[in-house]
Amino acid sequence: MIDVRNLSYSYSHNKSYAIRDISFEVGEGEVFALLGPSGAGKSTTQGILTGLLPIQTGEGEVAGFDLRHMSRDLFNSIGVSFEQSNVYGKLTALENLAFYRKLFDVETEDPMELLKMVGLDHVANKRAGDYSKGMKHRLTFARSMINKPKLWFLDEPTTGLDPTIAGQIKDIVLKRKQEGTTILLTTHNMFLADQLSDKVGFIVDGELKLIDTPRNLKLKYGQRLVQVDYYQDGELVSETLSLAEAGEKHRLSEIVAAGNIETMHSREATLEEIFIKVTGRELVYNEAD
Amino acid sequence: MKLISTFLKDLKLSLRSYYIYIEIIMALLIIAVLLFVVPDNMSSGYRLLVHLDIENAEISQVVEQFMSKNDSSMIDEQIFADLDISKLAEEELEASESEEPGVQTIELVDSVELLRTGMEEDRNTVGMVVSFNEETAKLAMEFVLQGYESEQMRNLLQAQFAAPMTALLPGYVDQTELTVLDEAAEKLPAKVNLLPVLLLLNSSFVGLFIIAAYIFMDKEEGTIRALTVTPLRIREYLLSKVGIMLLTGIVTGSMTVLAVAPRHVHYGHFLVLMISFNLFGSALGLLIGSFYDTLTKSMGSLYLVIIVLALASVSYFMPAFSPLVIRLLPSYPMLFAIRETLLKSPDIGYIYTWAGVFIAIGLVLFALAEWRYRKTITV
Ligand SMILES: Nc1ncnc2c1ncn2[C@@H]1O[C@H](COP(=O)(O)OP(=O)(O)OP(=O)(O)O)[C@@H](O)[C@H]1O
Ligand SMILES: [Mg+2]
Repeated sequence: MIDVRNLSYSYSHNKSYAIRDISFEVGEGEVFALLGPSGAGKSTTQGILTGLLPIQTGEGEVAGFDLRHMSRDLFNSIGVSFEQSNVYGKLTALENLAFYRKLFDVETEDPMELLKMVGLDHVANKRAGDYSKGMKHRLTFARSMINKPKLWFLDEPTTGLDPTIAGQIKDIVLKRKQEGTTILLTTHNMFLADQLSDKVGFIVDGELKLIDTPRNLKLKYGQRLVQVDYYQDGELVSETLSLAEAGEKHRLSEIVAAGNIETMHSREATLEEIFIKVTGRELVYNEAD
Repeated sequence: MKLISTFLKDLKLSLRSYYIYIEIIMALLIIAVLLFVVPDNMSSGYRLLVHLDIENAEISQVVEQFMSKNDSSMIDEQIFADLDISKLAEEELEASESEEPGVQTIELVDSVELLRTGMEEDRNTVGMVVSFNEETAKLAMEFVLQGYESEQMRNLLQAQFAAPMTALLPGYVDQTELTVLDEAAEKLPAKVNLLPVLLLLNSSFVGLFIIAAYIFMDKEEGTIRALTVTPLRIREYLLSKVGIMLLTGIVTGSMTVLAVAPRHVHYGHFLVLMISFNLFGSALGLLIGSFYDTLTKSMGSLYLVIIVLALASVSYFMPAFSPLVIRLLPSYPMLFAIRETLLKSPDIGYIYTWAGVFIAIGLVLFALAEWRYRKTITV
């Protein structure tokens, strides 16, 4: 579905690249998550793949269309949900979708059904301009499904949504995945990526550092961790210690010997921890942005 | 199909934002002002330039005396005094029916050239050359007119000057002759004459600003990006906006011209011009808009362009002041082309030449704008 080689892009057409030498493949029916901190180049990559940004260096194919000779026909088979919601504030949610569906040459979804799916059916006739940020975001997300895309681009689909709604969105994506939709997910939410994707790519400073399945990554980089909460001088202290490191193993036995343990359990490393380990960078993740 | 859906959507959007109403309210204001405030004829009467081509001092004195006596307050008496009653009654009737206020001031000039340049500088002037042939001892009078004076005005001049002169110097007056500067000239009532300027500003150039405003609305909402990932072409997106401007331009333009000058306008020609000029204005607005990302930032450029284009109206009202820089403005031929559609016998060649020229320029600007938008859309 997606096959790109050596993509580089510079907004200012000089040596300062927003992305550099990016290559990856996404097979049909796969979910690929691009993970990286803010400014890493995730949206830029998606922009090139969706034809919003002209390809500069490199080459590639998206849904069978050569990126260098894009045809408008490509847009009948892809759907794009934007990071920043972009709907007509002066039109109602229903009008927004009713207009948008007429732009496609393929069979489309019923607007009301889509609104129901994202929980906006009760405000279908309200102008989108009066929507909250999260509601606009859901409308943008719903709109991206209207042409039943074979290839679906999701840029930060759950950012800024409250956990319940984020959960609903995740379920919709999972359902589409089961129905065979290929998905390129761009996010800095490791938890979401872990649950949804078949493959993840770590992107930092415009470079794709590594691509693998979450399972392999955990096997390769994950270590058994023990999280222990204990009392020290009357205060509750929490520590996470790796069983692979001699020093930390020793520290754990000290805590156990002291005997003031409240709780203690072992767990496997999260994608987030692996990301930090591989790239040396934090994934500053803030639900509020 | 996609173009139509987009057009209908844009129509809905424009009816829900206030820009479109600026143009409509302006049109209503223009109609009200022209119909109820501007008088039919704003000129306070004609100025008469007289050149006396007379060597004979005695005759010259008599004629000069007649001229100096003949100020506006005395004109009627003079006519009454010196004309055959039955003929006069008829002429007075005609003169009073017309809206022509007649000659108000008289100035003597030294040469025929001065008389002509004087007339060209002030279109509200008529001329008169009086010459005396020594051999035949006859006086000849020649009236020089702009060409748009009405039949009544011509009669009035004859009555005011030729007839009394004949009475004053019986046996001397030989002939009166009439020449006009421009055979085809036609004088429009003041309010109709104002129309081209107002129509061009409101129905073509305000659109330049409004279409840019619509684009910025889309840019700010980001909806322009959402459309970029559909099968809709940028050209269709832009054409739909042009269509909205065309619709409002035609509606407001027709409203204005049909309300103010229903008996003057050649509506078919007028429509063709409105379409052509509107296309030009919209394409220019799109192009300017492509260089900015908010309306506020683009305001300076848009304002400047509209003001510069509006400068042509100075030369439209004062033909004597038409420097090359103004004649080079696109609005200059536009004004005169619109004026043609309001004349009794419009110059079809002129109208359609400029209609064609501006459609062509509009298409080029549109192609440039399309290229600019394709290039500048970003994530
Ligand atoms: N329109 C633009 N013009 C110039 N530079 C840009 C533009 N958009 C992004 N950039 C730059 O390109 C780089 C990559 O940005 P991009 O938006 O692709 O990051 P991202 O991974 O999507 O970040 P986020 O998680 O914040 O969405 C950044 O350095 C950013 O400053
Ligand atoms: Mg981004």
